[in-house]
Amino acid sequence: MNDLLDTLQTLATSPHAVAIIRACAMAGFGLLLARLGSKALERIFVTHLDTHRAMLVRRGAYFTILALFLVSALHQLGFNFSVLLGAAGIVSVAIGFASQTSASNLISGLFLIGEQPFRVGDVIKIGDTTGEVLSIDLLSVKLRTFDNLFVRLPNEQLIKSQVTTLTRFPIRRYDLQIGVAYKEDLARVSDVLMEVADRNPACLEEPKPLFIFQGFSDSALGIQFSVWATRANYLLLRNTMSEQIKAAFDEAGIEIPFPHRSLYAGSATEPFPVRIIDSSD
Amino acid sequence: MPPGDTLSTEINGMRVTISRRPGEWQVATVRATDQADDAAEPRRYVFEHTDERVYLLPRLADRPVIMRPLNPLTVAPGAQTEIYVSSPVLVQVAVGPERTVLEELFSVQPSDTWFGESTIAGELCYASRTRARLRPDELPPTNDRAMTAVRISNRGSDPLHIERLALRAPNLDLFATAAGTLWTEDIALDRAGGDRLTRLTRIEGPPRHAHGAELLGTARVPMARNFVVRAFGEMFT
Repeated sequence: MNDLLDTLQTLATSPHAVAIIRACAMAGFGLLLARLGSKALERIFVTHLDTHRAMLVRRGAYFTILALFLVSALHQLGFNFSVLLGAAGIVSVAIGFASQTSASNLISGLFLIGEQPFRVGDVIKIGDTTGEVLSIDLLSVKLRTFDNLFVRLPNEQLIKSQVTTLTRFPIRRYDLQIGVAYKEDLARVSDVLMEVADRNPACLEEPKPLFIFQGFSDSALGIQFSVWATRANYLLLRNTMSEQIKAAFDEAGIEIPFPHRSLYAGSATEPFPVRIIDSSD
Repeated sequence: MPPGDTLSTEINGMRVTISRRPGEWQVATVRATDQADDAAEPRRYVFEHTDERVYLLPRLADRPVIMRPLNPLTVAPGAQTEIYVSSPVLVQVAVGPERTVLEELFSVQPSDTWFGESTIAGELCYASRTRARLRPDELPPTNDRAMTAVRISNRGSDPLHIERLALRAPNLDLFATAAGTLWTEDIALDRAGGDRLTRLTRIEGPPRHAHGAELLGTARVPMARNFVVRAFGEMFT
């Protein structure tokens, strides 16, 4: 028993044990300080910066403080960092090859944060994906789509391709593509459309609605009717306008045609055989 | 209003029905523009206790109102004139001793419009057409619109074409005459030469043309008496 106690005492007073305890204490203290310090910094900066930048400040502070304490802890254990730095040159080449994609995403991420084409909370469209930005991180951007799916987009892809921010400006234009029959009077069609826009409270009076003649298409006169709405009312306008235009066209007797097909027999002069059925039979 | 009772009144073609139920108020509205088959679904407001007091008060609009004269109006250089415009008012439904606001309703919902230099910067306003009368008695007497006397002086060297006029309704007080006509305080717009900016002055106190008018509601947003605004719209031109 005494032997065991002696051994423990020798171990506890040995310089190695002291160094290990010190290193552990330092790492523990570092973890605590990093957590508290980063939260305090975020609280200070949150009033001056937007949520996303405040989040970056918090993460940056957390990892810097933690890294400093971990390096000191390792130093306590006798690690020699000058050797590690020397080896870093060779290792970094190897890591560089291995982590090409991550490095590219990381640098793209820095550009995204600097350029700020969108912020956390904005709605963006990239390719076929439309969603609300949840976070902009160093490697990727996270989106929540409107059907409630979580989408992770690598930063490199965002830098390379076209990104549309739907919520950047306060008002939006909705372009309705309409076709009317060839027999219709375009001036009258324009009047009916303008009246519908005037009656719809979601449709902004200024900027004025636009009536653009698109051309003579196969079976209809092509028209683009562009109306403006606030971002919040955009969907309401889209739905109500279509409904009201259809109703107004029906009321005014304006025809929205469907594709027409003319059928000919092998020779244009040959008539189709017609059979007459007497209804009195 | 005793519990279980229902108050129904028609305000400028809009039927407002307010019911007091145990621990809640219910408000239903039917506008003249609503489809006949639309049943008025009541909106419910739950309170710890309900009080017998119900207030229906007119309020000025919660956003600026953009007036567009029906016929173009031009003020010659050096000329000074006073025009009379009217802007739509809301009906405020408030209950209880502290006048807790339940709803603010337009009897006819005005159209939204955008007022600013571009489609990127500007503010959301209500649109209104005005005849921009030169005499106050030419305005048709209504109680769903508040009248404002606007004194315009053009100190510039070129004529001032008034295509639009932004009435900052949230910054104005509302007055009522004994006859029930609503007025806001008078405003003055001085356009200095050169730039498009205009000095807007709110002339404090009851409006000159509404004799014996009483203050009905103070401005939603207090405003400095004198400040420079872009009151005449010349955007997208």
